[in-house]
Amino acid sequence: MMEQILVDGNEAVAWAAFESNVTFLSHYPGSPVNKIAPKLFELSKKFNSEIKFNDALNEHVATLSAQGASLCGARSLVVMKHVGMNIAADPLNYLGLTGVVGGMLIVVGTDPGASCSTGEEDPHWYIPQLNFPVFEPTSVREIFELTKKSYLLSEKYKLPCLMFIPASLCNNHSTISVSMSVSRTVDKLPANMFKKNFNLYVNVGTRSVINNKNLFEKIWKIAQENICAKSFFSKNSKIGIITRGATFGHVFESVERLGLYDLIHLLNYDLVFPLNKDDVLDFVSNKDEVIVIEDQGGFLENQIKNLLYNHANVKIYGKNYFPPYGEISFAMVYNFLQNYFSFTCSKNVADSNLKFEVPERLGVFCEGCPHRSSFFIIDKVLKEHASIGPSIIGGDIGCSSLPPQRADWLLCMNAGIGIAQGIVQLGTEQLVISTGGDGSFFHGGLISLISAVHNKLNLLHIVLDNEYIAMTGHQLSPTSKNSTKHVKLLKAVGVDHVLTTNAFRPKDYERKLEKLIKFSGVRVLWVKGKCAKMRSRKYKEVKSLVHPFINYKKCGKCTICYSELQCPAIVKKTGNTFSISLEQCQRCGVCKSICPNGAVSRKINTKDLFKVIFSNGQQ
Amino acid sequence: MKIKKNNINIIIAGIGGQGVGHLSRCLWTLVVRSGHNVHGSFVKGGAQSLGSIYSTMRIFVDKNIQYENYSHQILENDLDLLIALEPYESLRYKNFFNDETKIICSTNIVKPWVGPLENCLFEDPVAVLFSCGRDVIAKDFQALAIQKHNNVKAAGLEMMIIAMENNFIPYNAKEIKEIYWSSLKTF
Repeated sequence: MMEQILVDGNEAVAWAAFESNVTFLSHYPGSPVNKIAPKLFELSKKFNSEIKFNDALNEHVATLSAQGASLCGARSLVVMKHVGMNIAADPLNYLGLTGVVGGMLIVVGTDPGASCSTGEEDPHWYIPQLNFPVFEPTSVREIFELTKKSYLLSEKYKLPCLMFIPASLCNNHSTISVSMSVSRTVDKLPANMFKKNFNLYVNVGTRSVINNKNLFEKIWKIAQENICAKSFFSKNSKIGIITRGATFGHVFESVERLGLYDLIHLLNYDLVFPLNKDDVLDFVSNKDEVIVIEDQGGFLENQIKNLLYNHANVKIYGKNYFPPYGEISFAMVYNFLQNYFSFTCSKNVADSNLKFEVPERLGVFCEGCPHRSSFFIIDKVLKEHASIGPSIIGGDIGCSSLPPQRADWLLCMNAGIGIAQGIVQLGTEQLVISTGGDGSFFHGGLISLISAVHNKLNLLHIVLDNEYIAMTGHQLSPTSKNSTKHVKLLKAVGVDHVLTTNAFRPKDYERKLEKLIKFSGVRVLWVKGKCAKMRSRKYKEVKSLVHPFINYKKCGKCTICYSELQCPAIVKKTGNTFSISLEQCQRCGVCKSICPNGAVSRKINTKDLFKVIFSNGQQ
Repeated sequence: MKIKKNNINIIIAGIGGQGVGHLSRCLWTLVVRSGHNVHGSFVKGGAQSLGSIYSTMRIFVDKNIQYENYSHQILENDLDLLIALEPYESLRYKNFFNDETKIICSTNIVKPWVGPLENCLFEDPVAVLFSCGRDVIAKDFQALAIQKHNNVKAAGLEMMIIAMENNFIPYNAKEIKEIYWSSLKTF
C-alpha cells in the first residue's frame, strides 16, 4: 500500500536509499546532510532490515569502507558535506579506476552562502578529475527520484555516482509516495562475495593508465547514452537559460511572474556531468544568447563553453552576470530578468519606516555549554601571560568555535592543532594554545598530535571533549560512552604530559592549564564536560529544584559573569545590575565558581532534591 | 507590468531553541493534510541554540500549480504573514514586508549577543516594529504558553492559533493543536 508522506531533503535520500535496497551506509556527519544517516537507521529499525552502518571518523574512511562494501556487491551510500570531499579526495580519485560492483552513491551537501558551514567551497571542480556521473536535483521529490536512478546508473556503468544537494533543498519539504506495508527484503550479504580483480584493484604502473583510459571511455559512453534534463517555455525563443540545482526554481518562477513565456527557453540539467554534446548543440542551435544561471563557480557554464567551442555560433553568458560566491537568490534572478528585458516595473519605493539596521546575532555557546567555561579560563590564563606578547589561540571547527571572537582562526578541521605546529616550530616566544573538540580530534587531530610528537615540538593542545559530535546533531563520538581511554592513548603515542580536567571545575582547570604551560614538549589538556543539550532527564529534574541568584549586596559590578563569561542566562538590568534567568540557566555552576565576590548563591529545595537524586536507587 | 501571485508566503522566525523547526513542520503537515501544496526552506545555521533561525513557507492552494518548479525563497515585499517568536527577529525580515503583511510577534526580547557593540541594540524593538506601520499583533506569547501549557515552547503554537483565528491562513486552529501535541516526540 502506497502512502504519501512529508519528508525533507535528507529524509528523501534515506527513503530512496532504503527502497533501493542499500545495504551499507557510511558517513561523517556534517550539515546540511546530517540527518540522512539517522533517518536511514530509523527506517532500518522500523522495517527490521539488514543495513550495515559505519559511523566513520572521517570522510576518507567513510568512502573507502563503502567502496569495500560495493566491491562485495552491496549497494552503498556515502554521506558527507562539501568540505568532506577534501578529506575523501584521495580515495575518490581511485573509485573511478576500480569501478564498483554494487551500486554506489556519494551524497554531498553543498552550502552556497555558507548558511551552516565555515565556508562555501564549490566541490564541482573535483568532477572533471573524478569522472563520476553527477546528479543535481531541483526539488525534494527529485532528490527521491534521482537517488533511485543513480543506483541503476551506477550498476549499469560500474561507476559510483555523486549527488550534490544544497542546504536549501536539504531543508525543504515535500510529499513523496512510499510503501509502508510491503515487507522489505534487503538481501543479506553472502560470505566471501568479494571477487578478486587484479587488473582493476591493483592499480599500478601501466594498469593504472589503462584503467584511466577505460574511465574516460565510460564517461564518454554515459554522455552518449544518458540525457537527464527538462525544458520549459518557448523552444523557438532566441534566448536560452540553462540551470542546475536550486537556481532552476528561481528562474522558472521569475519567467512565470514576469510573463516571459514566449521570450525564454529554459533548460535544466539534472545530470550535470557528463553532458551530451548533441543535446547541448540542439538546445543552442536556434539561440542568439544562452545564459547559464548556477550557484557558485561556473561549472556548467565552463562545460557548455568547452563542448560548444568551434561548434556553435552562440553567445554564452553566466558568471559575468551572477557572482561565483554566495547563494544566487530568487530576488537576484528576478531582478536580472527584469533588467535584461528592460521592464519598467514599478519599483518599490524605499519605506522610510524601514530604514534601520538589525544587529546580527553573533555565535554564542549555549547556556551550560562546557566550552564557555573553557574559553573563559583560557582567556584568563592567557591574559596573565600577556607580558611576553599577545598569546595565540588556535581554533577548530565545531561547537567550540561558535563565538568567532574566541579564537585567532577558524578554518578547516584540525586547523587548531595544525597551524599551531608551524607557529611553534618558528620558535615564537608567544604562548600558543591550540584547541579542538573530541570529534575533530578523532577525525584527524590524533594524527596531527603524533606528528607533533614525531617532530619533537613544543605544543600545548586542549581537547574539548563534550562527548558528542554536537554541532551536527549529537552523533556519538569515540568518547561518548567513556570507551576511549584517552590518557593511555596519548601516552602510547608519546605525548609528554597529559592532564585531565573538567570544564565545570574552573579552579582545577586553571591550575592544570598553568601547570602545562610551564612544561615543555607535547602537552595535552583533556577537558571533560558533557554537552548541555545532552543532559539526563534526572539532571533536568534536579535543575528545577536549584535556584541560583545574584546577591546584590555582594555583587561588585565587575561584570565578569556578563561580559567575560558571556553566559546568556546572566541578564543585564537597568543600572548595571544583573540577574540570572532561571528559564535559561542550566545550573552548571560556573558563574558561582568564577565570581570574585561570591555574589552568586543558590536556594535549594533540599527535601525534593534528595527525593529526585535517590529515586530508582540511582544517583 | 502586473505581477502574478498564486500562493501564500509565510516566514516563521525566532532563535535557536524556540521551536521554529517543530512549528514549521507542524504547519507543513497541516497544509499537506488539507490537500494543499507547500514549498520552502528552513535555515538554522550552525548553532545549537540562540542563533537566528527562520523558515520560509510558500503555500499553494491550487493543486494544479506545478509548485515544485517554483522558488523555495520569498521575494522582497512579497510576505503575507510573519510569525516572529522574538522582536529582533521580526525586524530582521523587514525587507519582505509589503503594505498587506500581517505580523504576529512575541514581545519577549532575547537581546542579540553583539559583544562590545551594545549601541547597535534598540531601546525597544517592539516599538520599532510598531513604527513600521504594519498590521501587528504583539503580546508575550511565551508567558501565555507557560500559563496555558506550562511549556514555553508552545508560544509558537499560540501564535499560529491567532493567525488562524484571524483568517491570516486558511486552516483550522483545532487541527494545528492536534498536530502540534501529537508530534512533539515524532518530529
